[in-house]
Amino acid sequence: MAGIVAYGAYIPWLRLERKRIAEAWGIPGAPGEIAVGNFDEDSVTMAVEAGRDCILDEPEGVGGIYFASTSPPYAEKSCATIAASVLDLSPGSVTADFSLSLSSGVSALVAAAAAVDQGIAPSMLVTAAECRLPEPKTADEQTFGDGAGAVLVGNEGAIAEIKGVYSSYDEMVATWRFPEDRTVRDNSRFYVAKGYVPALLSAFKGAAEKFGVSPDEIAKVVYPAPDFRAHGQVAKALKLKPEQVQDAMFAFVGGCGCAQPLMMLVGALEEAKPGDKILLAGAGDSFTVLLLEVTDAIESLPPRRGIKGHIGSKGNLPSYAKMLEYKDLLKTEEGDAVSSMILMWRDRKSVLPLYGKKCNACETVYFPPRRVCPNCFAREENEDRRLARKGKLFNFIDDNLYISPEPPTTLTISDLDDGARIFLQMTDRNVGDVEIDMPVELTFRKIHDGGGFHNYFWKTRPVR
Amino acid sequence: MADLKDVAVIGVGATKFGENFEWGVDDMLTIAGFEAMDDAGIKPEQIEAGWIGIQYPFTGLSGATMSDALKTYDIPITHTENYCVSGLDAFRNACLAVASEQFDMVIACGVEKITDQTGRGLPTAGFGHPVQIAGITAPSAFGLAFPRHAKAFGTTKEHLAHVAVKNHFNGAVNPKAHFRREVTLEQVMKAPIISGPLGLLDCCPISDGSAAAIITRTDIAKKYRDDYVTIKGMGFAAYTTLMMYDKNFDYLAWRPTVKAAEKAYAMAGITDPPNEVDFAECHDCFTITEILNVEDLGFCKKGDGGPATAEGRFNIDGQVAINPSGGLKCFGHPIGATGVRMIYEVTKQLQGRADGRQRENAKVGMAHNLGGLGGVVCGVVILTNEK
Repeated sequence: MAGIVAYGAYIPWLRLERKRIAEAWGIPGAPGEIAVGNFDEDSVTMAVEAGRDCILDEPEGVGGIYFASTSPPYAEKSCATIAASVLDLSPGSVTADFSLSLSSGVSALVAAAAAVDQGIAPSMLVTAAECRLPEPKTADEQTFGDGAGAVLVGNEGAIAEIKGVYSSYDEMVATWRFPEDRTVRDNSRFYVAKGYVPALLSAFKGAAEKFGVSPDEIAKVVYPAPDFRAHGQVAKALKLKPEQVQDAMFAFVGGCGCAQPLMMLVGALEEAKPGDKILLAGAGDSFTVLLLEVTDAIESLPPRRGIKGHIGSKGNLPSYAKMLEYKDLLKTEEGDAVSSMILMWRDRKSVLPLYGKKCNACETVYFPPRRVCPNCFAREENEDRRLARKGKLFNFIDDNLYISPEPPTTLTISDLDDGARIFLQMTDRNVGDVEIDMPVELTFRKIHDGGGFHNYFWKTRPVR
Repeated sequence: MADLKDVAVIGVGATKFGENFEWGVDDMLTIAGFEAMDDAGIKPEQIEAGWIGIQYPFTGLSGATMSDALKTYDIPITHTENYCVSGLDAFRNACLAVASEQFDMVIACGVEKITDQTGRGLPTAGFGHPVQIAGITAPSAFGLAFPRHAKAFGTTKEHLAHVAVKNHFNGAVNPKAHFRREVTLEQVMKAPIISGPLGLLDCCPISDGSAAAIITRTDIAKKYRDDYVTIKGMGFAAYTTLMMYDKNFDYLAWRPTVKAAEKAYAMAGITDPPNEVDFAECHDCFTITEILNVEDLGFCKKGDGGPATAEGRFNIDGQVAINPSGGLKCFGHPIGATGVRMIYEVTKQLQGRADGRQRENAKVGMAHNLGGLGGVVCGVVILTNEK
């Protein structure tokens, strides 16, 4: 069976202390903080970032991408194809979107393994990302967090082999959303008591029987939960030792919906040793358990950010009101962005995977792509070139005039490592920390919704 | 055939610049256009061709925007659009038409009606690429010069403030200026920040206005007045709207200013600008813009723009008076009108008719007009009263 070849994760830079939410409402607050996507992030941009971390910006050999989210930015329109384009996967790649259920991240992983096993694709990048909107003034508001996880599933060089899959389902209406709803509706007490706990325990029992493993043999049990307490209830019922339980990251990230199991798996793999057996479960509507066995290859996996590299890299969201604004739960002044879906389609190669040109006469790499070289003026003598994702800041300015939820807008001019000079907004920075010559890296973001659709592009950020 | 040096300005007109809520495009063009014709002593039916500078489509499209107001029906009228240089480019084309002897008597005018729009700063929606250029504003596009200029030459925010203080000092006595008040260094330094180092008082205002000039050849001009002024030098240059992607652009000089000035000085035979030009209307949309421009125009050494301004070398009684009218900063900047308004000011100064703000013994004056988000396009026109 296929195995996990690589992993990646993304946790937004911004965090909000739970006490800020509690203060706003005058209600009791839980300790810790939640990860909050910046105003320019959504589940597509976060899936892209986790996917980039997983494949290290190297699309060659990746056979397709699955995108899972219960909070996709489009109700109709594939997000997997946006991510595939940004990651520059070949046009022959397999793409599909998984949604509607908190189990869709793990479901996508199982589907990817099947696709690889069936020879449909040589490898599949599975991404799961969430920025679920909680109803204000509910416990969900202090529980939900934003984030994304990714794994590359393939036949060769697995760092963790998939040894078995056990599936079950459980029908109940306890977490749901009508098409016209923006925020999640749920009945947590009922769901935990009569759905989540019994169904997950039953799935683990069925899986143990099917796989013929006892709990003692398992190094890490990775399963999501609607909240911190429910997570502990399952650990207790399974009689797991503390070191067997993979942290669900409620304290400093929050519950990331269908992305939570994949993010937790990344956390488990970061600490795993060859020979470790890992149980990975998806929960919600369908309850799926995978048995993974870590191989020697994990020791030669090239470094990446994963969970560890993101968790400590953070900035503070100063207020609850900012969170409402960034998530569009509170309308503030909007700019008059205009766009054209035809223009954006025509320029898709420069906008999404960020291609510029390399002049074959003078070797200059430049952006935006043009037929005449801006350096030596050679005409039609160039080739497409995917631009470097890192560079150095040549110049910048903090602008208060541009309408943005996060003024000032830091505008940057950077010299990328391949020599291309590019003008981009900067995000995820503390104003005042930006200086000429500082190293920067590129991150994929939503720029605006001009033209009535999401307009994505790249921004710079200080190296995380 | 005549040449550009045989072209003369015989009449100028301008509205008051400012938030002219009570006036429309038609009102302002009528006021400025007829003032220019009255100043020249001509009637509308003598005008054989027209050029009108307008940047924004919401102000007006086509040459008919001019004939709608002035009723100059049945003559050729061309709308010029070249960012903030739209007006000066109208003037350039009018001069070329007269120099070619295709026409004897023409009008160049410009108008912009910005305050009908609501929003912040100059409208930029629809400028450039929907995502690649998203976020740019006029002050940030020009303000980007500051970090590099400061790093290379030690230019400070206080240097910038001196530009605003000087231009407000000049403009405060100008009856048609948007603002009629002086500002102190402290006020400029402490004004709310708009973009980078640029505070509110480092930025020109959002203004409405119109200006017009009547242009003919010197042999005809003599019949109308003795104090006509003539073209001494002219140069225009366009660079690119993509300068922020150009590795050969260092943000230390506005390339179009340098190139346009080279051409204008060559035509005028000027080799020592600070000693051969008495005053200049110099594009000061933002204070940092003027700092680079005075260097690019050769009025001081590259990098000395800040200290030279602070020392008073560009005051009304300095070595070269920069923006005796108050400039864009104080007089206002209705985009399409500005270039022609500069011609208005230079002409008045050269005729000794710049009441209260007169540069003593003014013989050679410059209109310098820079446009685009950053220095994209520039026009330099040098006029003289020396016959």
